[in-house]
Amino acid sequence: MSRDISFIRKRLRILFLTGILFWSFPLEAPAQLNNEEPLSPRTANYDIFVEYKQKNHTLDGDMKLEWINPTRDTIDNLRFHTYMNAFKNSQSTFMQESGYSGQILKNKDNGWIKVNEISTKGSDLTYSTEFVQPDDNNIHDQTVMDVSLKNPVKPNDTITLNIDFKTKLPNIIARVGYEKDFIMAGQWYPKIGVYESDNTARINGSWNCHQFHANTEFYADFGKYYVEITVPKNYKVGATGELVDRSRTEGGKNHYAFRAHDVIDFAWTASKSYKKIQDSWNDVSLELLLYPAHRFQNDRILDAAKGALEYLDERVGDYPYNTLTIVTPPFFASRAAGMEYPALITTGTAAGMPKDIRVPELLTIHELVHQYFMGVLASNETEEPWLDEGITSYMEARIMDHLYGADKSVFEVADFHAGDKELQRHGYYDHPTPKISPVLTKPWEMPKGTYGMLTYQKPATWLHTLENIIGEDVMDELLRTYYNRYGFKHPDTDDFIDVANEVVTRYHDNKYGRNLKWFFTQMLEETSVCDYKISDITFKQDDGGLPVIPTVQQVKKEITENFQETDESDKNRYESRITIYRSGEVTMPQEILVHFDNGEEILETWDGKDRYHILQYERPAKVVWAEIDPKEKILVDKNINNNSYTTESKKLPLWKYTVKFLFWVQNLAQFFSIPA
Amino acid sequence: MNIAKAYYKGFRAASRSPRMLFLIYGTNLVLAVLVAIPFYFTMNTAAGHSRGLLALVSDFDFTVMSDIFRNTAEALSTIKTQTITIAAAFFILSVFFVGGILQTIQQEQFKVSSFFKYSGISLFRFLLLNAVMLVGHAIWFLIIAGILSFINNMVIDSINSEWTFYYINGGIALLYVLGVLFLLMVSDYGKFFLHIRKSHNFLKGSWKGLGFVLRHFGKTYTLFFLLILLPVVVVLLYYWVETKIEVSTALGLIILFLVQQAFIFLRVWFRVWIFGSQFKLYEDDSEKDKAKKLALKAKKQQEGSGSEATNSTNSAGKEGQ
Repeated sequence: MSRDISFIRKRLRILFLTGILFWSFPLEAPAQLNNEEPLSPRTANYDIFVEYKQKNHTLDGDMKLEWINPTRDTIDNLRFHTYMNAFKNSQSTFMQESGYSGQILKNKDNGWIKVNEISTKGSDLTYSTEFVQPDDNNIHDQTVMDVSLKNPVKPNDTITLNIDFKTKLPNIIARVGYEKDFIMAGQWYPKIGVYESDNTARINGSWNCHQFHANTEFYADFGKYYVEITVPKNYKVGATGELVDRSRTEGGKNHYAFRAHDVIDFAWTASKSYKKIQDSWNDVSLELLLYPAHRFQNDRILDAAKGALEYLDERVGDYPYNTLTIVTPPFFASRAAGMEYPALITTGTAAGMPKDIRVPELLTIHELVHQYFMGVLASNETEEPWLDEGITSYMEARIMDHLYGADKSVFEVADFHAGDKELQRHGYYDHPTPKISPVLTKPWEMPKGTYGMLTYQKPATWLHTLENIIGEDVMDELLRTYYNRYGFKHPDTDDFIDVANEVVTRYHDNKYGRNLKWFFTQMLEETSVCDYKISDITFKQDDGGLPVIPTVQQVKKEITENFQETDESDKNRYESRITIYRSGEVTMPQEILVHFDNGEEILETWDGKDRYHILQYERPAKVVWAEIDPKEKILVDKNINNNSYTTESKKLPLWKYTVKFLFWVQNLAQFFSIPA
Repeated sequence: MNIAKAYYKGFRAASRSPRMLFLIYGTNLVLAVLVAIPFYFTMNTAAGHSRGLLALVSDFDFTVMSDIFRNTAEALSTIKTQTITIAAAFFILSVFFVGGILQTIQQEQFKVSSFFKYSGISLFRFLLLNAVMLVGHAIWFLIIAGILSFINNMVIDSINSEWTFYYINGGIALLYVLGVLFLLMVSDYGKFFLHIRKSHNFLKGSWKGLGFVLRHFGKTYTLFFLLILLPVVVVLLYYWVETKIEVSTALGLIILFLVQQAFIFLRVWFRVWIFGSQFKLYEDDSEKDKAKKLALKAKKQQEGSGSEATNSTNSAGKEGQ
């Protein structure tokens, strides 16, 4: 590891000033080291030395950054994310958008990051820095720092920066900060943005370094991290990457060193109360950090993690790291639950969580899937969150349903149960405004309260639909190809669509058109919803033309008028007609299962493009029922109840729930009468 | 009267009036049917000719159910209002029935004319007594909310495990329930006072009810706990039985319906049983209280007249000297 002199000098100064003289003695054997063979471009490489000061919840940091200009542009400025400043004042863009009242600021529990000094090759750049606001010109926002360079960075050149910074952790907000002895250090250091040029991505020659918004996450380049963390005595630390050294300082403080390769970020956590549980899956070392109150749930969390790793390994690709740290925040810091960082995730639970309510499993699996869709496939979470949250939610539901049962994976309470896929679809359509905005909307431009639906639930629902249309194996191949091709890169929506087109065409030829543009345009760029219904079934016996009971309403009068009478000589023949109506704007290929009273069944197909479709049969049996999408492939269909039509009695289920309802009302009335 | 005797007498009183029990149960059923009918038609309309509902025959289907609820949100909102209205109506009817129930328990026989006569007589005073209890409940609720807020604010920073949080809040919730049970008992014994004394003074009734419960604190609470123990067991039993009933056929549905209605009938029976036991306890012990009070008064009077006699003898003696 090469370090220039000024960097070493600075590090020594900090160590001296903080009174730390290392008296290192290994407390445990270092974990297996990362593979030195680069998996990623390793554009941004960090060496960070940080000490946590418990008194003021501050992090004193000293960092060396080596950044390689990966483009053909000559770059004369650098941009850094200084996310912690989102919690510095109540006028920051995050605070304004999120609607936080600034309560934490009143209690001096705010968070901030200050760059004390920044230099390169002995040249001080501290006074060449300024905060910029590329998204909204909010001058109070200090989450993006621009550094003007005296000597521009030429293509493929490397610039080495030494940065002395101090971070104040907020009382937990947006899943980072401190609470009592618990620390979750995410977005805690100045992190360089992503420079995009015409040879790398969409934007020509500019920094993709957005401010921190209420609904946005992160976007960063891959690199190597070497991080030394000093914490007070008795604190246990978990972090992204492998523990390479653990020792005690002369002052009795705990000192940890971690190394992580080919990651886009580095996060760590510390607490005095952590109980550490070590486990493994294949060659991956699993470390679970949890509080004593949650100790009986360690098997639930680890089993979910191992199940997810197994599933992803089979369907998508290898888990690329050899460590995974799972953090279960204590109840007083539950706001830190459910977050993903490379090789470190936070799950969430509560003591006494019933085993049939699988919240810890769901959170563990979701955040673990992010290791693939965010960690390795490092799409721009800020601009296109569906690529990480949507695909992750989709895979999370597949894993949940696979491990715990399709219709009961999330909860089973008495007679009631629901699976993850079902709940995702419910989240999409139960939203008051499912048509409010396309999925491809910048998160900070999404109407308030719609981010979850547009980013998680809607994409997950249509990805399940896509899987059902093209087949599970083809979907797995799509994901595998996407992972192998764009792993350790920054794929975007077009990349995903290109892979989908390629794989689907390879397996299905032109069965679904020359490409899947029709599908992705509707799902990503439009706001329409899908709803097909069978509006009518009529049939006639050949007895003079009067309809046989039950004949129900006929939607298309013109069709009725053209109704063909059967031959009088054939008294046992029926002419049946089924009217299918597309009441939504979204079009999907459909299958229709038709059932006759002699037990015969016919599976029809329809491209689903016209506004209506008529199926007509003339045979010695009449249609009893018909059902669009009998295998419930099209999960984006808004109302599955109108997908079928039967002429049979369906009184039993109606009575069942009426009887239950009656009983419920009687009990409620009895309850009300208790004071009487 | 001892608790066992009161328990048994209440059971006997409730069991001797099956017609009254059926009257109350029938009222409950009829009112519930008034909401169940629109519910049936709403579900029927929502389901249309769908086969989706068939998925609900043998099991619960979240997707079918959530689509139905979403598509009938407005109609269900109306049904919700109707349900609350019906529950409120049943509350008033239950207050109305109390006079008749008490008369039946007192006479140990059910006469329709007498039942409705006493129901009518008692309605207003019992409603007012309930209003007093509602105020008492509101005060208790505010006290508990204050305690909850105070304790949580005080200890939240020092709690490191949610178990501590659960225990504290569980303890406070238990305290709240005990308070509510206390108010329910005060209300019941207050009604007994008003009924026996044929009084319309609901404030005095509340006061007397409070006095009785406080005087016989251990006995009234123990009896009440014993009385609600059985319904609790029956509730648990019901949920166990319900899981065993397969509602995939009409026969299964009929069995479920019968079991449910039997459970509701039992609830009515338990309510009358509770009333009966408490009433018998009150009848007996309030008489004893009264007798004790009279005896005490007589004793005081006797002591008073005795000392007067002594004083007069002394005076006479002095005069004689």
